[in-house]
Amino acid sequence: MSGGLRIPFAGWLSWRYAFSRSNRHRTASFVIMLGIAVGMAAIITILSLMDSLQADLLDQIKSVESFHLQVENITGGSTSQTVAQIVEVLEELPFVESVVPFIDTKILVQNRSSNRSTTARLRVIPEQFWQMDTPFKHQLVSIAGNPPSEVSISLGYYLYSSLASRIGDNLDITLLRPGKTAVLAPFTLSVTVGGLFQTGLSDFDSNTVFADYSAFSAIVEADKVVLGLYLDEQHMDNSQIVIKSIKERLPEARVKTWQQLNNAFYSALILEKTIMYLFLFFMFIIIGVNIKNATSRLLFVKKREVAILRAIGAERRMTSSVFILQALMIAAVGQTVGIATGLAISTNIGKILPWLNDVQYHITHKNSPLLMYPFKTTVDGWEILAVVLFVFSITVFFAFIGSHRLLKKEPMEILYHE
Amino acid sequence: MRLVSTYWLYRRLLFPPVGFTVKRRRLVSSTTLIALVMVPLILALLFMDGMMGGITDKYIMLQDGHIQIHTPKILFTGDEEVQKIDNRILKADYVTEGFGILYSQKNTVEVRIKGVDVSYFNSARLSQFTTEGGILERTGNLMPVMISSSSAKDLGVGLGDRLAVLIVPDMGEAAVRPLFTQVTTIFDSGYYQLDTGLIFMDIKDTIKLFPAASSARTELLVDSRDLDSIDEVLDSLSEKLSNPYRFSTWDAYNRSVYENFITSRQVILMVFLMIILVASVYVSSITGEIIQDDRQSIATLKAMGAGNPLIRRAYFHVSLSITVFGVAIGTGVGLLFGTRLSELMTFLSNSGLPGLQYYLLDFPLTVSWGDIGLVAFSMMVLSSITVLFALKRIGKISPLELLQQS
Amino acid sequence: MNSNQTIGAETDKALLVFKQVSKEYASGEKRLMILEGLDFSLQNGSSVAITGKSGSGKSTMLNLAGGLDIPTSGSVVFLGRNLAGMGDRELSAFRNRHIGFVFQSHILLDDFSALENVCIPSLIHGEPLPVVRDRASRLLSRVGLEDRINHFPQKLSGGERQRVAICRALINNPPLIIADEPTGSLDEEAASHIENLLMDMVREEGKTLLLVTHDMQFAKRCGSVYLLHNRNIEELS
Repeated sequence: MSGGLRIPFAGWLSWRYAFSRSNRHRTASFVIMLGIAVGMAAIITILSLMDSLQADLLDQIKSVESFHLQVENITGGSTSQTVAQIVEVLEELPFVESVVPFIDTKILVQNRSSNRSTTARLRVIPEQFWQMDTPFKHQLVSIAGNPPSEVSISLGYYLYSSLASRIGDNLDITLLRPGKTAVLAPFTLSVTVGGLFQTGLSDFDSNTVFADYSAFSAIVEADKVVLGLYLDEQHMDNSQIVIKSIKERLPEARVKTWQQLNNAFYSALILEKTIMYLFLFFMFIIIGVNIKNATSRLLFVKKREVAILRAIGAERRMTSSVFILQALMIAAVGQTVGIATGLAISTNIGKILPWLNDVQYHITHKNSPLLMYPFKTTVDGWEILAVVLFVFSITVFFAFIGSHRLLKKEPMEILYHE
Repeated sequence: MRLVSTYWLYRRLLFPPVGFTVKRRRLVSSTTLIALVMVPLILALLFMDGMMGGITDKYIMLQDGHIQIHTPKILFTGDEEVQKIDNRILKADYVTEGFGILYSQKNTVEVRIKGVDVSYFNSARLSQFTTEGGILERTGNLMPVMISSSSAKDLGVGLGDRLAVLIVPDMGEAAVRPLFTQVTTIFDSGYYQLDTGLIFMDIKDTIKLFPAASSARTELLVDSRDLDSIDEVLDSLSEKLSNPYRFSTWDAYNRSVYENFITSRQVILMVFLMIILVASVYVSSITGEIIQDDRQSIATLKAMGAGNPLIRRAYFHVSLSITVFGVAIGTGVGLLFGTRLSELMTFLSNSGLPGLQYYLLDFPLTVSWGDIGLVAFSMMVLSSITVLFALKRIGKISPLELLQQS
Repeated sequence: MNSNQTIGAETDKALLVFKQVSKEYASGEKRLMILEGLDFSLQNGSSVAITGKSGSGKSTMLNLAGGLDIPTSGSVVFLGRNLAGMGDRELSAFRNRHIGFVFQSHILLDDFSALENVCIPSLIHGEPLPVVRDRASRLLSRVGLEDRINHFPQKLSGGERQRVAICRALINNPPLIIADEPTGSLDEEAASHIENLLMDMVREEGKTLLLVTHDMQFAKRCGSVYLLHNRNIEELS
């Protein structure tokens, strides 16, 4: 009968009602749209900044600190396979891009020439790793000197500064290793500072010394060797299938993902993002109340019109849905404007923040570390979609609350005027 | 007379007579919503200020003091002596600091070793952590050591257990020797980031282990009421101490932590500002509704000779009152809930979420009236500005509207 | 006066039949009986005026006839179908196709032009807008509003709005027009125009008219005049 055009008519009616001049509903609609646009732009900008910062940090961690996967206890106590053989086996696994044997151990470092000392972490890796095309190479910048070799080590920038060392200085490194009579005994050796590196992780740079695997594997506990694996982009964050393959070949091995290795930190990042979501969600609740008020007022004003629509044959469901639909249209326009604005701000954040810094500098005469930070932005389409759906849900909910009570009664009852 | 008229109209608008249920309900619900907006903002501020203040206090009390004087000389023999220089200084402690590795059968942990006298732990410092065991109580031949509960857990040791420490020796020695210590105290400050990697030893032991020239300094604690005048304290120290020593303050010593706090505060306050902006637009919306519903009354007033400024003032004050009441109620309720914040923090700390180790969840309630005032003031200012747009409508209402049929 | 009179030759050929219809409303704790055991039938192509004092139940009777309300007891049968037995969807569609309403206060949609207001019943039915627009345009021309088709209700006078309402009632070519005090809120001159318009269009289109009015002069222009009195109806000779 009238199936084909029912929806378009309801849509047409909703659109007119959304921008109806009755009772200044148009003004209310624009205010709501503005609120939604501001909220969306804020969410997109803040989340894209957070996503970028977090992604950057996590990328650094995965690339230089923990790799995508770490495999411990690789020999399982057996001597049937050497480390090199095991590396070869793992390199052949699908989705594995490279395998790096390394050993981490805690050390004391002394610089006799500057009389400074501190604790650090010694990471022993193969020399050829520095030339391999891996995420490590892309994230770590060699500032001075050479990568570690048989005769020299490389220091992180902040560690280098705290020891007040220079390239060519001799440092005493003391580490613990199994003793003849004692479980662990200290062992001191002298090394030369051959190079200086820097990453984006200040903690890493203030705590790490790189040394060559072939020179040091005999000195440190060789059975503590761990294999660091880099996976392809598709599997670096979701590596279950690779873990399964590794376990099949090395049943005694313990495999840890980067998420497990950085559990606390990763969890803290998720917590921060969740809290940010909650705050921004709160903003939309206020807008939702605005929607409820505006919808109630619109329905109150349009009661007689709804009655006549019912009288001339409009179904009850259709007339009820008009008020929710008009709110959805307002939300859709507001979201579109907000998304466009948010994307524009995110894309140009590198110009906007320095400008804001200049403005506030004229007042405070101090640079703001926040505004001067070289932010990049990462826009996650799925996140935006989730927010869009959430805003639509809020809109439907509050529009329903705003219209529900008034629509409980049959609208045509106002025509029974006697 | 104009003020009287404005006041009369304002009162009628703010307190509608009995029977005007819709109007009353609207005023109450608007005030309630503003209050509900304020409550989480206040709670968040209490949490943020409390946590940052708590973390700062822990760094200051347990790690660095307010002011550090870098000299191996023992400058003060007692607190009274330093208070003569400046009575804003509460305490002076001679400390040494070095680095080492703790190791047990289970694990190794890198640590910063702080050598202190038992008198270091005054009531202010003791309030920063809980302890098990007597503080650095020497019970045998081994050097007493005070480690954190997180380090104890990592190392698999408890009170009374022996622990080996590998330290960087005096530069005169050729070889590094491990030392054996005894765990006499286990402390927990509640802030993992500080606890992990910090141990205390008796300064009588550490002075032999670490060269004083590079490891010793004097830490000063300043009265919390005088923290804004630390620069003045530094000036009086420079003036009165005979030699030109190198000074540093906590924030300079922990630049990255300090800047992190500043940045986090700025981001959070920016988000608050956006929420307040949306809330103030809501106030404007409500004002617009009130004016729209009263347009016949406004037309009548105009027909009787009331001018736009009088009417606008009355409605402006109504909106401002809604905001002020809402802010006041919300702040009060927020502060009230804030007294229960510790229970929420306890619940969170028992939740086992690993990420929480980067937060401090046990801190005293800190009410930063400046921050609360800023948030409240922002709400009122922004609401006042947004309401001005709604008030423009009053100018467009003509007495002719009296002739309109509903 | 006879109550419970069955009027008309054969009720099974009637367009609309009321069979022992009663209607009561709740008013606080009291119950108000408006109609009681009313029997009435309306023949196809006839024009009937209902009169009576205020509160006699005229509008109630029209509401029941138009399917806007349901009787407390009895049945309202339209083209052989009991209206009370229909669900909302069916009843809405029924009203849309078979009844055109003209109310005292016209009730046009403020956000739509005169032309769009006339189109609405057909759009509800699902007809394409371009087709309906032509038809609506022609109707509005017939009532002398060809120059006002794009005007919004706020820009039309009371009489012009009522003319739009009449066109809206006719757009779907319904067999029955129900008019409840169509001239009640108009001045004498405008009322006269509307009366003439309504009667002419009903006659030209061959519609059945059920009219409620206080105006006896207007009522006498219909084929029959009934009086609602004491909760029931009787024909006035």
